[in-house]
Amino acid sequence: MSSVRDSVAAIDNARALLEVFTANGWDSAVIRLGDSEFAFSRTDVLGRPEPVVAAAAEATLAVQATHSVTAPHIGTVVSVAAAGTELAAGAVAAVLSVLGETVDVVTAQSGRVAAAHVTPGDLAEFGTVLAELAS
Amino acid sequence: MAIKRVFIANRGEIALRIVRAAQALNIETVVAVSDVDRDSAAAALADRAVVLGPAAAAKSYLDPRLVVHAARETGCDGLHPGYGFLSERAILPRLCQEHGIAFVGPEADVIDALGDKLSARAIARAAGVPLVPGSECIASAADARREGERIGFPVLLKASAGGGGRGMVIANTADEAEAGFHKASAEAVAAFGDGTLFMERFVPEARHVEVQLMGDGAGNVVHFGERDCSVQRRYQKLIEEAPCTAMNDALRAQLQQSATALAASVKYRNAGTAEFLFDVMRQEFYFIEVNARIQVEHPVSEAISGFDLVQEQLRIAGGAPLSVKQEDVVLSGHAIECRINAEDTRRDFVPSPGRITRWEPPVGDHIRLDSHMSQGAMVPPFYDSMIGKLIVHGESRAQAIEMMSDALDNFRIEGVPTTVDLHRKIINHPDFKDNRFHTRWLEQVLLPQLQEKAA
Repeated sequence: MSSVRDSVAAIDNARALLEVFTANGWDSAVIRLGDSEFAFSRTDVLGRPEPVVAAAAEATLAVQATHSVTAPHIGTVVSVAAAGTELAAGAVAAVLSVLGETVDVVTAQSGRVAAAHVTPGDLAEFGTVLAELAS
Repeated sequence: MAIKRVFIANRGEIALRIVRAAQALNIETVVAVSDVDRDSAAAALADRAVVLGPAAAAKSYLDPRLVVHAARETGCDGLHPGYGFLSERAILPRLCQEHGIAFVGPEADVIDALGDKLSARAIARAAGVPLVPGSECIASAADARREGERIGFPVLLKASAGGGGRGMVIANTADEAEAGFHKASAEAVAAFGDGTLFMERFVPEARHVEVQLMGDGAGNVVHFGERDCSVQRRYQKLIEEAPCTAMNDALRAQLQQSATALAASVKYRNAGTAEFLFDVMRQEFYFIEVNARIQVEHPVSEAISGFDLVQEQLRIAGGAPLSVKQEDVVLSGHAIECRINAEDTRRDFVPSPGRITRWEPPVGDHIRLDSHMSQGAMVPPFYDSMIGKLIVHGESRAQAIEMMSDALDNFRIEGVPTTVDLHRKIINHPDFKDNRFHTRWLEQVLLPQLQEKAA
């Protein structure tokens, strides 16, 4: 379960680090963050071709192997798919509200909702597991 | 109504500083964190921490809607923005007001008015605050010659449409102004399609001075003296002092009076800083801008005034009047602050995030450390690289320098490269000790000297 949160975070981290890397105009950088290592290079000086893509791809694989839907940012839960619901990939699994504006949280892959972990009215923080899917 | 629970929309040392100030006033605290700041010192000390979003600031600390939603849903009746991030974005106080949350800072309209350079200059001019002597439109080489003589050389010729240094020429004499006009005008036409120029006095060795202000929003403003922040690298302050000892008492009084009048003219509410360029040779100061927030270097003003500015911010945001009158603000001694950054000074100050493996700060009377770091703490790569602010307060500037030198000697940090060693070199440099430096001194004098030694 936490692997999904970590994977989503890893992708976000990779993107954010890429922004940092680009903004700083560095030639190369290797950044260790917890268990992850991110290598960036403008040229092939590190001898690791396309490290950014590699890091993101690994994280994506981890997402595919698990079945949780997590909050992409803080928000108040408006609704969440009930247990037993069949969801196609890209279907709305939950709806969050931020200052009255609603945000759909969609599934990365299809599955049946095994359990909803939040109820309408809950404040879901970033990374909170909203629902678990079984494929 | 006094704030009962405050939301802290920031990170790092300032988040921790605000939590402590709130706790001293028995205000509950909720700290906003990003995914990588879950274990921060502020989060640990606060009553509650909520995770806004991922590490990327744009999706967490910089999203005003997430911030205000989180504040509202955690039952906060006040919001402190700290510095940086959203602190000077008018959208934040606007959203706060819409949702019944007291913003710890000025009103949105005041932030807008002061945030716009032209409008801020107009406000300053109307309040009788000196601006850099300059010209209207320079339309010809003859204009350039005449205006240069009126303003006083050296002058800077600038493209009206300009930016980024293009179409900018420094002229030291009337002849140079005439020649400079042709060059700058041609450059401006090439770069911006508009050859219109204007002229400003150029201060080659300027100092940066600023006045700490606090207003009640009703036109009452007190100041807590000035700070000298002239040790800079690429416009980033490294060392700040209070007071500015390169200024005589009469000029200091004028500076403080100007800053106070400016803030009073817009009925400024909460903490703010009026920044000035100080021409030491001429003993004149010129308005730069107002920073409508608490600043990184506020502790040096707290040291010489013995007054807690962040607590006062929280009180005022809760509707309290100013807790001091100007005559009650007594400034004494001299304070210096060094910003300690996790940067590699030998590799062009590249930010160097990582884990702190050893953290042994100096301790002693009149030494203050504002830091969120500890042994084992992580400096994440996503945000600025400041890991702490070391502040000393001595009876005189000379004593403060000595204290800072000792404090830096006793600061042990391992795991990431830091600017501690550079600070030691600055503090012990004869130019710094003799108070002979300006905003470009570090880049023009000290860094080249260090490079030469290393070579």
